[in-house]
Formats: sequence, structure tokens, C-alpha cells
Amino acid sequence: MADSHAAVAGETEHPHPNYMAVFWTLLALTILEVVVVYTSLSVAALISILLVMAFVKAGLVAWYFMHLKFDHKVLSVIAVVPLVLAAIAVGIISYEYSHYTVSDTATLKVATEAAETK
Amino acid sequence: MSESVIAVGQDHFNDPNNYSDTITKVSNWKMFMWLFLAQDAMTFFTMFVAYLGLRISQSDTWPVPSNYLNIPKTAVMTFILICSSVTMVQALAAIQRGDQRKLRLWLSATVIGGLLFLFGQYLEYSELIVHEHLSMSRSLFDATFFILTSFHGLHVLSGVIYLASVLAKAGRYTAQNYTQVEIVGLYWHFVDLVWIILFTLVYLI
Repeated sequence: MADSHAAVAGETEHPHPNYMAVFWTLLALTILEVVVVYTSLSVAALISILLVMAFVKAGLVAWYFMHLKFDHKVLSVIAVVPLVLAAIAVGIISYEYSHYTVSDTATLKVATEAAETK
Repeated sequence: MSESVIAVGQDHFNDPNNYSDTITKVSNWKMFMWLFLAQDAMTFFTMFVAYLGLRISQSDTWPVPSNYLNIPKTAVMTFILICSSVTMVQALAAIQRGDQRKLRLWLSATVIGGLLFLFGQYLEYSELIVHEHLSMSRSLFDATFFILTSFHGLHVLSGVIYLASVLAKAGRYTAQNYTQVEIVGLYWHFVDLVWIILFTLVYLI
């Protein structure tokens, strides 16, 4: 594991990816995004296409510009784990929120009906 | 005993990239920056989710963003930010070859890109506030727009100051000592990455 990574600073240089190719891809996707917005696609199709393009662009930046491809994989783990944790937290909070909202509404309804029948 | 301790210490200071004394061989500086970016990503992530939650809860009254926001102009700002990311990777590549002159040149270009982005955001805000009368208290659409874009704008402003501070000390970096250039690059690419997501969620969708 460790010996696949250079021990001294001089050996840590990695082959440079074709940064300009990444740049042109990002530029093309950005233009495509703006074009797609002005087409008459359905909202669902539009949102899915735009989200996929955004994540591809973000991935390209992290993978090539931020060198995740060439760095020790612990950095990729650091990049991904917090997003998973945040997604779980959001999921739990949304579930709790919907749960409480529904039951609060039900309680309110019962209470209102009880008050009306009195 | 004390001699070896001193020797280890000397190694530490003679190896400015600080690669040799960690288990993963990832420099402490780089690890620090990634951990910082990870917590910053969680902040942005939760803000985006809160934004989507508010937007979905009011989907019947939520305006179409392109009715208020100027998408072609913002696409130009996106273009500027992507360009400044490219100049940043060129700056790092230059100092890894030991080329300080090119490092200064590319870093300056990156700073100018950041300043242009901030100027674009200033123009956008003045247009929206003066002509479209958007304000924090008018609607959730306005409030979430200003909170998300200004939080990102503050990151760009910090990035410009951070880049300028690295540029000011460019003379101390060499082909063996470039970690500070690398980690300012990580921060700058992250700001670009967040904008890519923000542009889609706030402007396009």
C-alpha cells in the first residue's frame, strides 16, 4: 500500500491529465445545460438531464482538477463519506418531519372535530 | 536519543511538502484542506437540501427562476470560474516544473478570474435589487437565492484573498516545495465545483 506511493517529495509527481480536454468537456456541458433549459422538454426530463450533467461536471473537477484520481484513496473517502452522512441525516430529518407533520395534523383534526361536536 | 529526535525534526523541516512523516504519505497540509472541504461540503449540502425542501413545499407559487434570473449572463460567470480553475491547474503544473515566472502568471490569471466573477455577481445583485426589486424579506425564492449565492460569493472572495496571499509569497515555492500552491488549488476547485451544482439547482432547474 504505502510503497505504491512515493516516500519523498520529488517522486510524488504524477502524470498530468489532459487538463484542456477536461476544460472543453466542462465548457461543452455548460453550453448544453443552457441550451436544454430553453427547449420544450418535460420538467421531469429537464431536471434529470440537468442533474446528471451537473454531477458529471462536479465529478470531473474533483477527479482531475482536484487530483483525486492520482492521490491516495483516503482523500476520496474523505470527500465522499461526509456527503453520505449528510444524506443520511437529511433522510432521517425528512422522515421525522413528515411523521410529526402528519400526526400533528391528525391530532389537530381530531381536536377540531371534537370541539365542533361539543 | 535526543540526537535522533532532532534528526527527525530536521527531516520534517527539510521536507517542506511534508510527505515523508505521515502513514498515508499525504502531506498534513493536504489532509487538513480535504477535511476542511469535507465539512464545508456538508454545509453546502444541507443548505441545498433545505433550499429544495422549501422549494418543493411551495412548488405551486415558486417562480420559474429564468423569469427573474439572467441565465446567459450567469453562464458567462460559470465560464469565467471554469477558466480560472484551468489557470489554477496550470499554476500548479508550472511550479511542479520549477517555473516560478509561469506560477506568478497563472496565479494572477486565477485571481483576475475570481475578481471578474465577483464583479459579475455585483452587477447581477444590483440588477436584481434595483430593477427586479428582489429582497430577503419579499419571498422564499428571493431569500434562498441571496443566501445561497452570497454564501458561495463569500467563498470566492476568501479564495481571491487566499490566492493573492499565495501569489505574494510565490518566490518561496520550488519544484520540491509546492504544497501551499496545491492546497489553495484544492480550495479554488472546490469553489468552482460548488458553483456548478448551485448554478444547476438555483438558476437552471
